[in-house]
Amino acid sequence: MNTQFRKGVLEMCVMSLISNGDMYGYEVVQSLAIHTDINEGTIYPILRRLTKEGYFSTYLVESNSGPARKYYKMTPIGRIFLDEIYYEWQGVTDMVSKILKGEEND
Amino acid sequence: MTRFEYIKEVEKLLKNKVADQELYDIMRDYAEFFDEGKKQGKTEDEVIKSLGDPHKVAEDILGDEKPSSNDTLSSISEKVVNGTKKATKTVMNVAETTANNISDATNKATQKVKEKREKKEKTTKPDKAPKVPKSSKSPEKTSFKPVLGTMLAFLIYPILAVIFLTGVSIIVGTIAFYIVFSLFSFIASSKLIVFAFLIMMSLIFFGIGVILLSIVLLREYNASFFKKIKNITQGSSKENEQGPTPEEANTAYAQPENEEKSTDISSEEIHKNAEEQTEPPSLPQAEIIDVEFIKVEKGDNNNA
Repeated sequence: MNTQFRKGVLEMCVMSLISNGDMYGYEVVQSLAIHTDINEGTIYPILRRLTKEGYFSTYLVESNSGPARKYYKMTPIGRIFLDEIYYEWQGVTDMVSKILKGEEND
Repeated sequence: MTRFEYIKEVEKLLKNKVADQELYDIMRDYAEFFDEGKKQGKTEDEVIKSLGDPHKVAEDILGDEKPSSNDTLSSISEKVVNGTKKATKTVMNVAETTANNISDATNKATQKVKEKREKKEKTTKPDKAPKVPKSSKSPEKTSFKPVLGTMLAFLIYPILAVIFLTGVSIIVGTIAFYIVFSLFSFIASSKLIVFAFLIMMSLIFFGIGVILLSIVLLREYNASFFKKIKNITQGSSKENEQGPTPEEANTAYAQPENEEKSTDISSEEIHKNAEEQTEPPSLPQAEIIDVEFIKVEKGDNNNA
């Protein structure tokens, strides 16, 4: 699959996961790994970039066992952005399914 | 490869390519990742395997950093600002040319009116000077004229101009909205930016509208407004002199008043003035021609 396209879809999935509740990095990776065979190394760059864009804010939570966990929290701007890309995604999937159905009919 | 070696390798690949604070952050994230993996019962080798080649990881990070710097809010706002600069330039150019056209048109129109009036005065003065019926009603009518003129100049024309400019800015704003929205939905910027841009655009268009209005009105007032008021007052008194009977003079007045209520700015108004001024002299001209024709006929008879 096109890496750019894959990255975009992954980005949307990450945002969707974090919009349901604050998560730390490894949690995000694991939640995605359940559904798809992803390169876990690609998630951290995505998280960092989305944070840089202002869609996530982060805070550290000290844990009793092991290192501090960096939690990602969605910002209002992130929520608007997610709404927008979700809307776009709906449009794309509608279009693709229409085209595929058309090919089946022929 | 151990965890330490792996992280060192990534650090080496990223060093001097990202900011120190950023590098520290990245290293912290990967350390957390290793710790979490360990907590889940994974060996360091397994975690390294899942992360992949350090070169690939570094490439991913750098690859993500670069487009992000291109897509940041500041760069988007830069594009927006550049776009608006171009747009305002073109709009201002259009405004200037239209303003020039308008002023040219008004100048031509006023010149035509002047010429026509001069002709009319030449033809009518010698005949009409002695008749002058000074009707008792005419002073009231003439006093009403300047009031109408000032109302037109200070109330109706500005309101019409404002309505027109608002309409234009709404149309242009809508077009800009569609362009911007279609452009930025591909870049997938946030809606906030689009709305901020729209507010900016509407403010800019409002400003342009105000500037346009002031340019047009200033030109209008300087060039022809005071002349027009003079024309209205003077023209009315002259027409008054021309009218053969008081009744006819009154009817001649009723017409221009109705016409002046029609809406368009300057040039049409002047054309109408020209029309109303050309109508009355038609009668006396015909008389002159008749007289001359008779004279010529007599002359021919004498020759024969």
